[in-house]
Amino acid sequence: MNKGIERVLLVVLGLLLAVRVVNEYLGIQTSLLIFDGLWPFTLVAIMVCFYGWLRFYLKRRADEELREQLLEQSQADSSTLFDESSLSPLTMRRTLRQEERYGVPLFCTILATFLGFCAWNLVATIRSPQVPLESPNWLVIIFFLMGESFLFFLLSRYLLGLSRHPGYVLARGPGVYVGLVSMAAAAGGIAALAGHLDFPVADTVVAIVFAVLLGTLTLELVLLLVFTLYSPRRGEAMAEVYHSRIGGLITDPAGWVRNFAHAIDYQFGFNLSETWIYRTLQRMVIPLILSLAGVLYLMSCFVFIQPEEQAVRERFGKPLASGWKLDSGFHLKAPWPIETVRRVPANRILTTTVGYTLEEGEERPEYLLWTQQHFRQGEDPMLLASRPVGANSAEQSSPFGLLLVNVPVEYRITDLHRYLYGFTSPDIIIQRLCRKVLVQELAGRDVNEMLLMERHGLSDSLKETIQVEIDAVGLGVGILFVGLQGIHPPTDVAEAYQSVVASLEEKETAILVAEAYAARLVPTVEAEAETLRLAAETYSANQILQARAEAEQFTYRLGAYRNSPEVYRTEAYLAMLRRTLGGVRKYIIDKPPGSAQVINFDFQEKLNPDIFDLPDLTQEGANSP
Amino acid sequence: MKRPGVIVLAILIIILFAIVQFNFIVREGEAVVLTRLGSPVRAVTEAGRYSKLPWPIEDVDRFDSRTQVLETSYEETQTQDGKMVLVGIFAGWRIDDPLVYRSALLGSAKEAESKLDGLIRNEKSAVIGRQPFSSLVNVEAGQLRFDQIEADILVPVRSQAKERYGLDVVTLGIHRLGVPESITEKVFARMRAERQKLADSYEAQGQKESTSIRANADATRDQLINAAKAAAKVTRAEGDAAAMETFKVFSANPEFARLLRGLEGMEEALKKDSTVVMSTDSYPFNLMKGVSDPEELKQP
Repeated sequence: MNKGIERVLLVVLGLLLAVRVVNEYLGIQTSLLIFDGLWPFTLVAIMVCFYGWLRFYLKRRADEELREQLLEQSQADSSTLFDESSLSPLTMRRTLRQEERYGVPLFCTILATFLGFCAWNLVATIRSPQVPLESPNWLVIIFFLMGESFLFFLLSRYLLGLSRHPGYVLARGPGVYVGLVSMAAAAGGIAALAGHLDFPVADTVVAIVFAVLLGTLTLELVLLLVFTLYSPRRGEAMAEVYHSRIGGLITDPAGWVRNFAHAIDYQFGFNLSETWIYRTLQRMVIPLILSLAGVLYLMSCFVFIQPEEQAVRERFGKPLASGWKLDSGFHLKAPWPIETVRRVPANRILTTTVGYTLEEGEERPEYLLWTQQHFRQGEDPMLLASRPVGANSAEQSSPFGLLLVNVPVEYRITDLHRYLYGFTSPDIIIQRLCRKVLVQELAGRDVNEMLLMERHGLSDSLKETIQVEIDAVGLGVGILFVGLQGIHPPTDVAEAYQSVVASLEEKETAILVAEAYAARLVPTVEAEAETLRLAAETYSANQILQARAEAEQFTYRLGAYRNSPEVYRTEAYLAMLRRTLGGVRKYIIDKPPGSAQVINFDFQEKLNPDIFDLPDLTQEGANSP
Repeated sequence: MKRPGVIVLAILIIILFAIVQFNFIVREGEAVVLTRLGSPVRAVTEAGRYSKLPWPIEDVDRFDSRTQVLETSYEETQTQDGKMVLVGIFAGWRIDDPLVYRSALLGSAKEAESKLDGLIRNEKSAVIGRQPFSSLVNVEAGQLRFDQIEADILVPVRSQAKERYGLDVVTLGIHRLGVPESITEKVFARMRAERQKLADSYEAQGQKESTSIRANADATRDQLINAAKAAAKVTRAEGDAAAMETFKVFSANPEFARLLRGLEGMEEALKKDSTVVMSTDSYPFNLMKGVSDPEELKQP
């Protein structure tokens, strides 16, 4: 064994320390979690490398000591072959044995404690991350971390390769942990790349992965230590106990593949891994992966634009002079990053809402009542003017009222270029402009007139005004519809408004009842008047006809009378008697001439009793015994 | 050479890395500041591909040069006539000078919005403090001064933002207007009282109109009945008069007329429930006088 491996480990130690310093600086500057996750791996690698160097050093010194002793022994006189006093105590070998017996468990305990503490500390940091003051320089971080990863990957490969040679097994531990540093740096670089592409959450995700890995390594180390302490081959196993198997799986997958190949050879009974099929497959793995990566890259030449979309085709970030607009369907383009495509939902009718609206995931209520809050989101009333009411209107202190509004505005993208490149968030500026127009329009309208007015005209007017505002800022959007259906008094006063409507109904009801009374009375009275009129006319006509008839009767009778007055008189008299005396009670008194006889008639008994002349039966009954 | 593929791949990666290091792309809607050893050299706002020296000699800082929207706090402000009003303002801003923006605001959009918010709020308080409440809310829409207020805020904000921060404020508008919550409660109370007044007024109007309609109907009834009665009286009198005209014919022989009327009157008088007591001295019952045998009468 030479000093080469010790020198390599010292170089690795130096590099690890240097990288640790730079990582610390970048971590302070950027407050990124990936650096909080990286330093435990670096420090553990430093500890393991240093311990590895120490063990190599002790081993070399023990070997040197043994060689020196053997040399001295061979040069000594053979006569003193069994001279006990000539043998040295082999101090270094004893030290090495003591170190393997007590040092390794102690080191493993320290390592496990440190890893556990780092895992816990990282979780605590993830839970309360520091907010960076400014956006980090992602490119510098990506460059540095990828470089770091590449460098330690090479060193790790070297150490792991060395560890497969006899006498260098102890290099596996440093190789695994340096490999872990390489992998962690690569993961950090990918997280930085994601941050650069506006996915800063990748920083937290990678830090969580680091925390889980540190926890797993701690657990593995503790379990291995416990099992080794009670193992019958404690002496051999203890020497490599801190060489993490999980770390080895991550950093040296080829070792596992080799183990797998050996297992197959063992199971089949011949060297399957030496056959041409196995070797061909082994050779094809990397080209296959590269081919797949190439195909995936070439997929960026195909663009599928959805039916509701249109897109802008950019070459080196600039829209093409011609053919920049892509309609829905399939298109071909140069691969990324030469050409890129930006999609816009240009064929879709988009909506923004001014005022209260549904929250995401909130269901529309079945009933929308003025007296109840419609949606979970608080409703902020809008200010309107209020026409003064009453005699002292000039002194009205607050000539305004409040209304709740829910005004959906539908629009469509008309100019892709302006919409895409004009504003960072076109939907927000559209919402603000719509709100501005509505606020300023309502501020000039009377609150009660607003509730009663016909709103179609206002809707059209608002549409035009919003369009003017949007055109003024060059947004490339056409307003299609402004809905004013959701304007009503705030919940607190809605009941008062409803009571007015109820009063109006009561008023109408009272009027209608009165009108019904009038409608019923007047025709009845008119009929009564008509009856009176007709009765009078009948009477009058009757009188005239009767009179005429009597006159004519008189004239005819007079002629008869003139012809024979006495006869007529007698006949008329007798006719009258015939007609009248036939049905009446008659008393004819015949008394002799000159008689002074007085005849008394008692008509009372003879007359038929009338019902009113009957005796009072009740009185009679009461008086009867 | 054992693995030419790996070497080709490595060369390819190195070439790609070199391309990335010697070029940069500016996208539409993006502004880029090129720095050389940390100090800004030039700003690029036109989209396209540009060359640069590799990092760390030259580096690029990228900013979104599209218009961004800032919304100020919904802040309580006092008008000229001492009324409290809540005003919310939004502004659309974009980077006008990327070099100034980078050096003055460290290229931070948050920092830019913070500075602009301060500027706008300052100007807003001053401008609204010069305007009466009626210029913000008025039934006479012609007296509203939103355009003037917005222009008065925008002009100084735009010039200061451009000069100090390299920003251009392209639009600014009042998009929220309200009153503090304590005043809102009072306004609600007044609105409720107004509504109550209106409701009572409607009810009273209903009663009034109802009574009026009923009274009108009753009056119409009385008028119609009375008119009908009067007309009936006249009609009856006219009939009587016409009948009396006819009776003039009786004057041709008054004695005969009296006879006839007497006979008619007597007939009417004796028609019912009468008891007639007559003497055999009167005609024709005198015919009964001197007849002793009733059979005598039967003989012709």
